[in-house]
Amino acid sequence: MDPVKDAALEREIERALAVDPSPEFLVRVRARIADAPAPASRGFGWRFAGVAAAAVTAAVVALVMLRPEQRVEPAVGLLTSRSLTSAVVVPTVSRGLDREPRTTHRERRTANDAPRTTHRERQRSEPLFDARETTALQRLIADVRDARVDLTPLMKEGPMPLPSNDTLVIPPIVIEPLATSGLEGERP
Amino acid sequence: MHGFADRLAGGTVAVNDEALEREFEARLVESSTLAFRVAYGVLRHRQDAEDVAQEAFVKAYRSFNQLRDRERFRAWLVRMTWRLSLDRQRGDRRRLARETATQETAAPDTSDEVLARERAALLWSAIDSLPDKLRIVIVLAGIEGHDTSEVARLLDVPQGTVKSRLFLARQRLKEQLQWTQ
Repeated sequence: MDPVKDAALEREIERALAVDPSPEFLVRVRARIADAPAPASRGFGWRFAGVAAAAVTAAVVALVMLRPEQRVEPAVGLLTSRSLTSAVVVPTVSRGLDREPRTTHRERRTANDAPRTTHRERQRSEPLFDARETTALQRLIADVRDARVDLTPLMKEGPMPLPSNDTLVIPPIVIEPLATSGLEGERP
Repeated sequence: MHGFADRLAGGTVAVNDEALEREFEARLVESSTLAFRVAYGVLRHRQDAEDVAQEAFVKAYRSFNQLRDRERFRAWLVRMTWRLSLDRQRGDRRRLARETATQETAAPDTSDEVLARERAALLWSAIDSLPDKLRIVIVLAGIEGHDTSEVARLLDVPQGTVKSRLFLARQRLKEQLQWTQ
């Protein structure tokens, strides 16, 4: 049989699709649409959807804003913030207030191994250290180091007297043998 | 309840809504055959095709605020009708009773008509075997003499994509029709 030509194929397809709907089709569509909600309700629907979307957005934003204050701070974060490690580092700041303290490779590794804190967590832990107090402490240490402040009068008073420990009696420690009868290692 | 025609006549609806209704009526009249033929191209069952096209128009009516532009309306309607038709075809058991089969039993049996019907059955079988992307292009190109630019607008794809898909679809159809004949 002859090969099917493009034009013949197109004609064939057009002929196959040349089917018209029944005369009642438009009538039925109109009747079905007449049962649909009135056009005015469409506008209301969109307005309502807009208001609902705005309300949901506001609720989500409020939840996000309130959530950090309601969350319990992780203990690790608090300990890290309050640990003496940061206090020990403070004197090195006196070399230059804006520079970060020099750390060894091991210290850096230790810091990297520690659980990382997000920007939000760092923000939450900041109020533990008032920026003004930190600055004042750094300045004091720097002034002592550079001999602009003399702390020797404070040292002259000597160490604070400790309470007497004469009344403290520690009884001697007695260790009972594990096996009281029989051979060593046998249960009584 | 007011009928559609009553609402078109106005009286109880706002002026803007009246204008919307009139625009929709115009779109309905000019696109009803297109929607029906798109559905028929998938289902090949007159009643099913009318049901699907009707459903598409109801959906279009509900979203008509966003579809007032003529081209946008036609493109949306074609794609919606196509999707609804595929859904219907996949879910409907009646697809086994094709209109061609009904006509075969009802129509008089001259040899030419039988031959034409057999050729149409082979053609539809070949079209059905195409992937959806090729199938919709070949159906749209076969409706109302749509050219590639019109098909590209209706499908919202580049004209080059339509041309290549049309070429591929015709190649496959020709192969299948030769093989089966």
